[in-house]
Amino acid sequence: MQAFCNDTFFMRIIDKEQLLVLLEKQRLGTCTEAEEALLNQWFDEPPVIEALTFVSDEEKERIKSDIHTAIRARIATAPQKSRRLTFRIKAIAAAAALLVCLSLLGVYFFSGNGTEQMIEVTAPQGIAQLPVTLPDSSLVWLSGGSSIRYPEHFASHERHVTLDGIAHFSVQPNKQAPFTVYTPEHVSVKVLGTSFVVDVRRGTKRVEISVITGLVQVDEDKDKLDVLKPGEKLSYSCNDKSFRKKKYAPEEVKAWNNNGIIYLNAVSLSEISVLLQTMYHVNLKYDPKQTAPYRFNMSFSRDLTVDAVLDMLHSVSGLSFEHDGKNIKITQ
Amino acid sequence: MNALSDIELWLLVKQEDAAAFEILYNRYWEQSYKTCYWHLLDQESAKDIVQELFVDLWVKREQINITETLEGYIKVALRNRVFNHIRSLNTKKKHNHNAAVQAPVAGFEVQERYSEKELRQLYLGEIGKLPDKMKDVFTLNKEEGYSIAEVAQKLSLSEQTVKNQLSNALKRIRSGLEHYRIIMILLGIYLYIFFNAT
Repeated sequence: MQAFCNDTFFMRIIDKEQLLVLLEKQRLGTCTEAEEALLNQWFDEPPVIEALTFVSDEEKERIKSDIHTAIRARIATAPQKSRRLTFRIKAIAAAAALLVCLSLLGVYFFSGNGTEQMIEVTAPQGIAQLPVTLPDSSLVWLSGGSSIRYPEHFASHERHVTLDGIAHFSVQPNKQAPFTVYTPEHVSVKVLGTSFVVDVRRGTKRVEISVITGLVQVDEDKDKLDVLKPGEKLSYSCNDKSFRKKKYAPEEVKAWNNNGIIYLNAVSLSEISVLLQTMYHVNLKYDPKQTAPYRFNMSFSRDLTVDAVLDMLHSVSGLSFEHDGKNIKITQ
Repeated sequence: MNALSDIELWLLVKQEDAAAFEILYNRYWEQSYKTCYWHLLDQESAKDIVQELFVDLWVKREQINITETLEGYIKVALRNRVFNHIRSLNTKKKHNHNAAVQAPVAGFEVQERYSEKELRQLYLGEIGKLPDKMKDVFTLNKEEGYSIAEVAQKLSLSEQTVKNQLSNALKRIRSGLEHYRIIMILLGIYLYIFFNAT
């Protein structure tokens, strides 16, 4: 111990040792008021060298987004634990909340402000399904060629998106903010937290809604058409404005999901970059000029790791992928 | 929405408003991270603590009642977490050693000024260890206040090189300090055990 007893270190160690004693006393609830005050003072005044907190703006942004991503991931999984347990209660609450939002609908139409920034995402034709995370962590699997429009931030009392094409929605439950999908065909779908598929392919003059979990209400403009339960599917004909409700075979939705396989057909590296960024939160760095001629045809399972996908991309293209944390560097 | 006060945003968060939560994150992540980092001198632990704090804010939003300010609430929550972290470092070393509550605390004085000064000394020491070129870039920019463009001109380097040198210099200095902090924590703990065992 004597080796450490030069001035500098001695003071430091005593400090640390006393801190630990105090922390232990605090844990056991035996701190005096004065000791608590000392602990608080110690915490309030850490020695800081400002310039060293972040070595660059890039590092600051990276740390900010690392923490943010981790929070989003933890929050997205948290509510799902209780969903299964309280399913019946939820369903009843959902029915009650539907009535409430029906009566409030008129007000919202007039109070909506037009200043909110809108985001429009279009899945490239070659991609079977593009995952899109909405501001409330709801997940949308968007079919190739389909597009979805939504605000940068949802309002506290409503979540509105506009879909053109086909998409599978997994909506985060939120009783206070009903989730509504508008389509170009005056048909809208309102839910509170559930998963379902909407198919509004242009040209087919038909809208199809298949419900997987939860309750879904289908409206035509402001008139309610029907309420769907899991396993039910509604087909709406845009020509004669008639609709039919029927049971769907679970395989139908499964077939649409392609068993969780993503198909890529002649997609460019920039499209893959968007796909990987949404799925794995990684950034692809490459020289656009160099990689412009590349087009990818492949399919992979949704639950593959990012490295497994990179391996596949490497073996079909010969490009090399250097994976370092959140960044992937691509070279020829 | 950005114009809303903390308390107004917090009330929205209580109603599951994710957008309000985002704004609060943007307002408070940096200060929270900085506080944790300078207490622990460990990026990963600081990131974990901030992450856990915000996850808790969201998950427990219904139970959490902010009585005064959100800033105050976050400060107290961070303090508890930092203290727990230091305790857990301690427990890892302690094994079956029984914490002696009666350990002497007489003459206790928190040496804040001293460690501030000491940190400064170590900081200067780490600057001294930098390679010459890097040290020049660093000193001109950080100590003498020249802009990156001016430093680049003075030393006939490209601005990008100056930026890289600067961020590398900061990284080296910081890891020097981090190293020191780890040693200090370990030494502190050993001495603690030593005192209590006698």
